[in-house]
Amino acid sequence: MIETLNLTKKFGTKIAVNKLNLDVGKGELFGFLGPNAAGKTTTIKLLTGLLKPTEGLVKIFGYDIQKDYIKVKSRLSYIPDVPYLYEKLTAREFLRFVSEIYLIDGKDTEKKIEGFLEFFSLREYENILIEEYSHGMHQKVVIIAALIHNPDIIIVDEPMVGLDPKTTKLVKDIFKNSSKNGKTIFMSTHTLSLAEEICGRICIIDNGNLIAIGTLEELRKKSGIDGRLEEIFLKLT
Amino acid sequence: MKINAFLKLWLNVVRNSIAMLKKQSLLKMYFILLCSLLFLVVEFLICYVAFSFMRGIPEVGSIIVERLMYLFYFALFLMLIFSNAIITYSTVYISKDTELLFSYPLKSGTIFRYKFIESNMLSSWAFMAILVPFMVSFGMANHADSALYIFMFLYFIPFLIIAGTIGSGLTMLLVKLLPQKKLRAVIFLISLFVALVIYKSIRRVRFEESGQTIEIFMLNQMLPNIHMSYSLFLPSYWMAEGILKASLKEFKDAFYYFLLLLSTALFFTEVLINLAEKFYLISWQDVHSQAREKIFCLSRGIIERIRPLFKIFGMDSCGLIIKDMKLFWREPMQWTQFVIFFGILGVYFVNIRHFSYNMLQPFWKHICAFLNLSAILLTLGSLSTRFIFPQISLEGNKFWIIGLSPLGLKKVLYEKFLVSFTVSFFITESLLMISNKMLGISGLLEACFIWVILMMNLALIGLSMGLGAAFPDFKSENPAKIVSGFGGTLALIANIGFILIAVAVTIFPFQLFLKGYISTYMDLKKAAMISMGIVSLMSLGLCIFPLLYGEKKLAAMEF
Ligand SMILES: Nc1ncnc2c1ncn2[C@@H]1O[C@H](COP(=O)(O)OP(=O)(O)OP(=O)(O)O)[C@@H](O)[C@H]1O
Ligand SMILES: [Mg+2]
Repeated sequence: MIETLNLTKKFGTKIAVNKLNLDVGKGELFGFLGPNAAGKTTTIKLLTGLLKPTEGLVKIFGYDIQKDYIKVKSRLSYIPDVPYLYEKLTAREFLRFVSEIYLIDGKDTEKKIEGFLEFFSLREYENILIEEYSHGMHQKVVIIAALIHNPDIIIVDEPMVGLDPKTTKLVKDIFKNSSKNGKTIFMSTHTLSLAEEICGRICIIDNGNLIAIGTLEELRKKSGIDGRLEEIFLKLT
Repeated sequence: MKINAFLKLWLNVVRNSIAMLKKQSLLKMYFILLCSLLFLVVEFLICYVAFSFMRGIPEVGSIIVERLMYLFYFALFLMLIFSNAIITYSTVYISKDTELLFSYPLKSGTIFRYKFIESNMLSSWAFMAILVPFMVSFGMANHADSALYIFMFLYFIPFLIIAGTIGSGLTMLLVKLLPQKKLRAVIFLISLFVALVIYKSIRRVRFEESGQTIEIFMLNQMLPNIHMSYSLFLPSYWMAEGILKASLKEFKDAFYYFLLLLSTALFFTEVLINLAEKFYLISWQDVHSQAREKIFCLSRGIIERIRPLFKIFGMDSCGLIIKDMKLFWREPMQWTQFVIFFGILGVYFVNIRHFSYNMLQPFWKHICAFLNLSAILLTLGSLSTRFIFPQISLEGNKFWIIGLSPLGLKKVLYEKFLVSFTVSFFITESLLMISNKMLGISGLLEACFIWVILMMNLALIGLSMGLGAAFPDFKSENPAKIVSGFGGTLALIANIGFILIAVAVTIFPFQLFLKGYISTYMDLKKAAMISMGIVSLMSLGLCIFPLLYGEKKLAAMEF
């Protein structure tokens, strides 16, 4: 579903991503790890077509993201690390706007939005402007907006920052269920326990270079450490 | 469907913003309304009197009005293009919501169309405030019937769109063609070039050679004869010509110019959208992959080297000053405007001798001197609203760093005030010196001018700074947007209002002297002292109270 071929991105002389080759299949919950400034966000922006690769190619659903981006983006969701929302809208208005952009049929939309708001306990705040939301509420709206058009691929940059335990659990379950239902989830995170718990395969990059990729077992074998992901991560990077 | 979604988005944003406004104090609302109304009315009256006066001048009256129209719309056209180009860069390329929109399945053309309308409205609305009273007063002074107003309204929209497409197109082209590193240098050179071309195309005649009466000569000088503004290919020419025709009830011609404007607007929009379809995403990606490092080597070098100079203010202030200088330098849009406005004034003053103003009779010389003083002050006034006012707001979300540091907000406010004051004081005083030298103004008048500039710097900078602190807008990163809020509008109106008052107070005793109401030099001196006293008192008040008010507001702010 997500495929990169020799993906490289340079900012001036700085190489942020270096010849990255990834292949993420249908229904995978893929963890993308690395220290600060490793190139995670840059890679994700390349995957979503927001940046243009210096070299190499990104293919999603078999389409080149730089060329057929409309086809790809209508079946994909992206949750950035610092998401933007129209602050002068209420959550409901914003979600309605997003559904219209994705051309979702009008009748069920209201019900769907209500369902999501209920699910994330935002119903009582739905008519308050987003600028008055707390960080976590903000994040919840972003997540709902990403789920509303039922995408086949979700690409997330640091999803759990600022969420309370209950919501973290909710999001975790959503991701797990989606992947069971054949959706692909590509997730960058610093929360190693989360990756350990829900991700099928894990990829670690550092300085733009791929360090290791595989299931937890495979990573253990490669690093020669039979412990938690944290120890493996610290050894490899 | 998608356009529909954007339309709803806007409607919601506008409705919610108004609802928020209603929550604020009614007093503030009424005050804004009153101020705006007052501003429009005063502007209308000034224009009306001017138009009526000019129409009344025998023989040349209509020529002068005509030239004024060409010139006005030409200047407006250029300013609109400039403003559109700048605002396009921030709304179309930098603004955060573009990333959100690009992550949706939207064509570049669709996103661009939406962002273009946004930036065009943002850049145009302030000019409406100038344009509407000007147009209406023109109509009233000409005793025109309603058809003229309809035509003016009809011209107006395609005119704004044309300027917008050119401005946005220019920005897109520059961003596309130029590597980011060179962008600032090129923008600077282009602006300089445009300014030079316009300046060169002003046709000046020496008074002795002109063979005109002094009144006509002066009017000629005050309304520079810019050849370019008569160009048949300029939309501003079509607009001026159309309005003139409509005022003469030649509606067929007027309609022709409307069609010309309309078709050009449509054509340009079509071209621009097509270009955006191809280039917007690519150039947006370019802007967002620009290498952040190394660009600023030069500034880092120079600014770091002069750091020791500021050590005398203490470690913390030094840090603030250096930070402000770096930020200013890194924002080319900021200082190019600065350079252009003061640069034009400078070049103009240096050339005064060339036009032999110094040969004029004292009365006209004084008029010139006062006009120059007003030009300096008005430039300072609008630039200080534009640059000084948003400074506190631009600290933005990072403000808490300073807010929590032992420095305290108070110190930041006064540091910024001092730095801005020092810079603007030196620039304006030097400009004034040039003007005085060239006109051969000396003695009492010169002393008064120097004093007025000092006082006005205090007042204008203090006022803008104080109001900027009292009405901060920490949310937007775009200075133009910050300035167009309530506080910014208030600052601009207050600045310009005060300039007019101060110049009038300064000029008063000298006019009395020239007209013979004050007979001795001693009396003139006394009168001048009194008027300086008044200006000083008002200036100090306008400097200190807003600053204190801003300081209080900042201290009470919750983050
Ligand atoms: N627009 C840009 N211009 C220049 N350099 C950039 C740009 N964007 C990212 N970089 C550089 O690329 C490298 C990778 O950055 P990236 O944001 O991808 O890291 P990250 O892995 O997401 O880090 P974090 O865990 O802190 O989010 C960094 O060294 C960063 O400085
Ligand atoms: Mg990141």
